[in-house]
Amino acid sequence: MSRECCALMWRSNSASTVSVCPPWRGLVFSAASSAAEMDLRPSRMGIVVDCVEAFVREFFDQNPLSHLGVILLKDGIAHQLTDLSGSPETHIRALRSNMESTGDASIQNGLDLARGYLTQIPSYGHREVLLVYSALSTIDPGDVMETVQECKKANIRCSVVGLSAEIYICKLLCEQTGGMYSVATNEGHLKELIMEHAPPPAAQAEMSVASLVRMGFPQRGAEDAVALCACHREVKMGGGYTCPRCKARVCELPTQCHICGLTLVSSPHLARSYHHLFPVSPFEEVENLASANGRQSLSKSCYGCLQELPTPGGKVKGVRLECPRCRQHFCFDCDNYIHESLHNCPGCESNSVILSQLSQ
Amino acid sequence: MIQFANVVVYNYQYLLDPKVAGIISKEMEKECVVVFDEAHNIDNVCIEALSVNIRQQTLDGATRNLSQVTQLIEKSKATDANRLRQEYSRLVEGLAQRGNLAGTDTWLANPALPQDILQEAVPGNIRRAEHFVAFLKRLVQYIKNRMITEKVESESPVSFVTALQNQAGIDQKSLKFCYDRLHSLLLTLEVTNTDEFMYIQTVCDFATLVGTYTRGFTIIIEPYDERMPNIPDPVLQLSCLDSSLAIKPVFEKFQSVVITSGTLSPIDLYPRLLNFHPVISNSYKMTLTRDCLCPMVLTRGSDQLPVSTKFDMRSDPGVVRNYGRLLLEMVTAVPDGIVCFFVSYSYMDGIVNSWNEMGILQEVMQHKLVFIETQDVVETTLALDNYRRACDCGRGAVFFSVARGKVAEGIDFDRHYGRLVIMYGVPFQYTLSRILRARLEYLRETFQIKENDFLTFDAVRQAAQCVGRVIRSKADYGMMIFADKRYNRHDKRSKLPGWILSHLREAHLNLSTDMSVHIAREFLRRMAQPYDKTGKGLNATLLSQADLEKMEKK
Repeated sequence: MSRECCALMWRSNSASTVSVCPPWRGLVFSAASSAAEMDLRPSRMGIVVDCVEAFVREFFDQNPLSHLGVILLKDGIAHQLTDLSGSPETHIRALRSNMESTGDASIQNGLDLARGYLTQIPSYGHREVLLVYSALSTIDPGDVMETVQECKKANIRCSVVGLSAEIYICKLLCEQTGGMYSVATNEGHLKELIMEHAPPPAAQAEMSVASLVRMGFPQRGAEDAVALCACHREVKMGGGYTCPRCKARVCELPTQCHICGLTLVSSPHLARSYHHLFPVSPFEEVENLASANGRQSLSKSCYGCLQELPTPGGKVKGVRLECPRCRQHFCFDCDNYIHESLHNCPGCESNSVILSQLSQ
Repeated sequence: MIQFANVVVYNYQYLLDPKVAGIISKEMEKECVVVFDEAHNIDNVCIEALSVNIRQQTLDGATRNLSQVTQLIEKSKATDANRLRQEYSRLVEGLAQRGNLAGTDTWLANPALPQDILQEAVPGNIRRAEHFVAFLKRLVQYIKNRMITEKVESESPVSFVTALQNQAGIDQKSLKFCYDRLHSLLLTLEVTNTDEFMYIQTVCDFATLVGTYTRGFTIIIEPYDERMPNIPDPVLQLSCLDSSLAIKPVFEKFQSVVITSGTLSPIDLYPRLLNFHPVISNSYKMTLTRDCLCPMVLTRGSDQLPVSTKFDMRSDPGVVRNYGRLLLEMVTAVPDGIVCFFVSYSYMDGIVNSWNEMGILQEVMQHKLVFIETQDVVETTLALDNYRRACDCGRGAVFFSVARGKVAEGIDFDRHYGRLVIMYGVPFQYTLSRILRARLEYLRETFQIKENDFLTFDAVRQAAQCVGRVIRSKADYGMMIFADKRYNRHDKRSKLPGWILSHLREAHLNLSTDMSVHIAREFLRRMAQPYDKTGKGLNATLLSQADLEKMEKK
């Protein structure tokens, strides 16, 4: 359900990568940028940090239950910039404050550090590393092939977004671990490629081991309540959430309670994760409008928005799409909206409601 | 075994060199289809098959061999005089060859072409074994005397034979039988350690060729190598000038002969060199799903000074620095492996030294490891192996090699092992070599091929061969840089093979270093994008069953 990703970032005079390492579960990604290279305006590092910031926000939007960590590759060594945590602000703050690049980049060191953190994560978590790499080579202390094999054994899916050209070792890494390798041609393309990694990949059934996870659903405190905040260690006025187990106050969700370690989420967060694991099945186009299903005539309007749908002999042009489960017809715009934003089919939802109503 | 096989794959020499072809390929039928693959060097192979070099060691070894043979004759006369007598009678009856040879006697094959071997009785003065040995001793002595000379001598076989006759009393007809006679003698004496008799065999090769051919050969005697005048190293070279001689029997015997190569350019020169009329002469383009080649002609450095390996410009420090900066900039832009070809070992040594003094080499080594080809096979193999390892593990490497070396002829640098190949200069042959000059003169007289044309053709063919190491499949991609201002001229550029020319756009000519770096970066980014391997529509590279049927109907 939740994704553990490691981002490796390091800095060097030619490449700087940012990597995020989750100590628990998280998204780690590394970005390498050559600050010396000005071929991406204003500088590679600047562009990468901008893209990564947008990515961090989008990532937590799509995967509220996941954690992210950042690792920086600098001077041939991998530094952990931030711990695995569920708060986007920490990562962004850390990124912005560390923007110089010196030295060489070492994929092996970065991957080893990321792997060290990710292996502590329980098996129901999905582990990933996103490497944003701008150098053309890697200066490693040992055999990088061994590291690749160990990542493969530890089920860590590594993806790479390159900034200069295709490097063989990155390609090999992605092929072996099942990740994706892409190279950006300009600034816009780079942003697109990094954002592609924000939504979680399709659920890999064979990897998930069914187990029960304990979660808490805190209540929001009243606006004038005063309490000692556990994450900032200072008195805060209003708002905040109370952990149901230990009654400590936390500022934002989703997070882990600092006192008792319980995962605190709200129901929309859970629902959003669920959406990605069990997506709405794609709608089928109704081909033959002429031969209507004998039992009923075609509905004249879309089930979602009540706009007119094309009928045989009618004046309306367009396509008619059908949900394979509830057999309702939708227009093209509703199909788009349902699959990209809503993640719920209105026909399926109302069907069960109607059925349950009828049974009462 | 050969007569039972459907497909036989072997070296050119097995078909072209008369010494081995007579044994191995004798049983090939007329209806065979002969395909010469990678045949861009076929004229050189034909020439080498019929050329002989004799040095001081050869003559010393021959003398040793002759005394060994004398001893063997004495021994065999004492034990079994019958054998020698049988041989004598056989020779009188006119059986110049002994018939079918056992498979191991490949080294004893006749150097002249089959139709040129006289099917006559061996002349009387060499029929008896002792007379033959004496004859050979006279020949070896004469050659030794000829090689003691202060200046270079060059003459045709006819005059050599005439002089031989006047001074040593050896006539031409006996020379022709030298080889066969030796062969038959060694068989009679039942000699098993054939390696030791290699020297006398070389001398007999020489004698037979000189006696058989009057045209298309030349004899050049050089007292020392021109590049090292102080060391006396006399060598007598019988060099074949006409490459059509060795391949003529192939054309005459077999029904279909196909000559094919990826760098056979210009294609109309080959029929003239090999003296045949092709039934079909066609040049095919490569169908590629995407533009995976990026050839560039670089004529100047970033400071706009022209670069070249022309003899007078070679040691100019500006040129050396520009070449160095080209390598340095490319190393920062291209991932994995880069291969550099130089025109000769001495040039490569000199320029690498200069780069080291300028500090360019150290800067290159910071980005990639550097490996170099040497004249030692073991060292080169080790270097290649480590180069590949460096490319595999992401460290990146540069390989320095020579255009006419072993690496350029045989080793592939496909995929990430060769993302960029830089050809430094135009790889002309050593133009002051006498053999080359004799050959050029012969070509001009017989085939009306201008010297300059031939030299350029040979150089560009070698450059294309080096550069073609980088692409080995349709999914592969690579860049090629021709770094010399002479490539921009039409006479050199037009001799490049079609598949390079079709990708060589106007925008990629006459580049300077910074422009080529820019093009390189853009090309690499484009090639790293995912693409459909089979290609659709215009770029279809995989034919389906329906496509084939459509083509057949047309």
